[in-house]
Amino acid sequence: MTVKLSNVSKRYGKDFSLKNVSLAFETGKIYGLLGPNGSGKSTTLKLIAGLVYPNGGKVEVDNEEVTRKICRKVAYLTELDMFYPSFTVGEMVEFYVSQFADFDPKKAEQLLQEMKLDPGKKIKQLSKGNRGRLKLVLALSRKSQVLLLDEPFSGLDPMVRDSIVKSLLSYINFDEQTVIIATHEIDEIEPLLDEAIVIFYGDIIGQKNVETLREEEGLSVLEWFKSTAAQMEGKK
Amino acid sequence: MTKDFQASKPIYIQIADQLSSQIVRGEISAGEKLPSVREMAIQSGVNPNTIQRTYSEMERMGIVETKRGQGTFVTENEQVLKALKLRLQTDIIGVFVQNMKELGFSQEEMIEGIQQYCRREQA
Amino acid sequence: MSAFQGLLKKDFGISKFWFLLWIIFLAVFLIIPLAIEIYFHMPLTVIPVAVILLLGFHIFFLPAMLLSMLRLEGKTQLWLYNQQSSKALFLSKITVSLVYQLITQVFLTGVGLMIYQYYKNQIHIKAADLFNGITVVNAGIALLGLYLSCWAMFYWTIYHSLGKFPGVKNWRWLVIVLLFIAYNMLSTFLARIEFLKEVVNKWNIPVFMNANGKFRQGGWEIYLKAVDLPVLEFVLYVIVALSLFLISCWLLDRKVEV
Repeated sequence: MTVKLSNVSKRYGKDFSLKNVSLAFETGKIYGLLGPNGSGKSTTLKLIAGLVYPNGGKVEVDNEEVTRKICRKVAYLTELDMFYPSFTVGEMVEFYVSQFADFDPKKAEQLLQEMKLDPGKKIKQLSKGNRGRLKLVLALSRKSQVLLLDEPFSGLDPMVRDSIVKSLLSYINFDEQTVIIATHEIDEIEPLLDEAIVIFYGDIIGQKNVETLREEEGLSVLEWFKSTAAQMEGKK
Repeated sequence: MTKDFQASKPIYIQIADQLSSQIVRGEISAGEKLPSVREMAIQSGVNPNTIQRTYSEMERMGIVETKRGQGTFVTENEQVLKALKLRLQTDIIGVFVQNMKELGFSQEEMIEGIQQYCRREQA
Repeated sequence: MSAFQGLLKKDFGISKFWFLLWIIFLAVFLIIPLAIEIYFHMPLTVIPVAVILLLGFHIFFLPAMLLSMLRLEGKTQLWLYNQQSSKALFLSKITVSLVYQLITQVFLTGVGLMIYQYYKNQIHIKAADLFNGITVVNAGIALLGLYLSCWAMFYWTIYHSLGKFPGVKNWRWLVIVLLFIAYNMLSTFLARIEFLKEVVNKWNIPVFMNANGKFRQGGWEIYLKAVDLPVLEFVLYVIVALSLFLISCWLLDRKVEV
């Protein structure tokens, strides 16, 4: 298992963001972490990226307990902007090259071209769609063991989404990477996923192989998600 | 692109069905090389593991053959291709007959209807 | 480019605008006194004061620069999403700020010397005294700046470490104020103890620091007096600064969640 969460809890004050969650992710698969906004998806990814620390339990990547330093093995795309706005696209890429040993400048160049991003342009002058593309360039250009994508489609129009799905498929290294995508836009990514995990207000309420789900229950991930979530809502 | 799939059927089977009908229609010819798993995945916006499964399934049915180090090719075996064509026909007829039955048509009425339709089509 | 060079370049990139502003600020507050002197025909009355004041402000330049960079980094996760050690992350910012500070200190010292050149016959000071004075003042300002920067880092990391507790989140600044008061009370209390005073003042190094100037017959006469620097106190300050730096690094690695 590349990524492992064992009995992990994360609290913000009295509120639980995650309650005693155990999850395992293996290499070569794409996982969808699905749930409504505020259900703990982002927290899970931040825990794996070493940006927040659990109150209880253990988070491991590649058999190493996660600290801030784990980012050398984990590429992470946030839903928020993670740039220095006064930098140009090229300067931002250059900064990543200097900070991450596994960053591949050639791949970045290729991706910039494909996404039609001008390296000389200042980041604060980029449109939202282009900032989303740039985030993806920075995350996909790394040969990291783990790739975390937090709401990669948020706020992007359908054309951009399509091109993002294509770049994901072209640039993910399926032999060596574990990919976890957190999103509430399930429709978009369903065909991309191997496994779907539903997280609901801090609890994992289901994990299914996408194709098995269709084969055995005749349900798409979206339908399954809706029915599981409705059941939980009923119990509350 | 991504919403083309039906919910109730595994995606790998749906892609296999698409490829099969493309082969039968001659859009992909016998002996032709299929796109690599990665290319096919990008084309259809689907996880490569799914495409891998599609190819294995089609190989199991004898429709495609994987040549080591070269890729996946459509079979040149006429019999298999003929059988595939017949199977697709059966599938379509099956759906048609089922729908007709639900509408309350008898077997004779169905055949009569098809013949009439074809005559008008020709004219 | 090594990782640390990358950090330096990045920190220069995010702070150069503020440095430019600082230079403009310095220029304005040199030109205004100059204009006043020319207009009112009173040479060497306001400018020397301005130069000394501006140089003195440098005590706060380093911590202010550092905080402005940290404020920017606190807005995204980019800074902490980095495999370099916390020491490297902080040191890069300190290095960049210190370089800025040395540049403007040298510049202001240069301005001071130019004034001295123009009015050499009106200012009477020994060359050796002048040199010593310049060195000690500049070094003192830089060191004080570094010392205060360690406090700035410490308070910043404490402030952000408290961010994950919703209960205190809105009262974080109060915790900082209380910490500040507590430390100052403690240090004043310790400084009053006779025994400690004696120990601290046991070893001294004379340094030139205290300048006495007299305006006499249209000219300045400046004397530098040797002042004793208590070695132990100096060492104590270094230890405090280092501890603050290390605590900040520790907090940044374990507790700060932005």
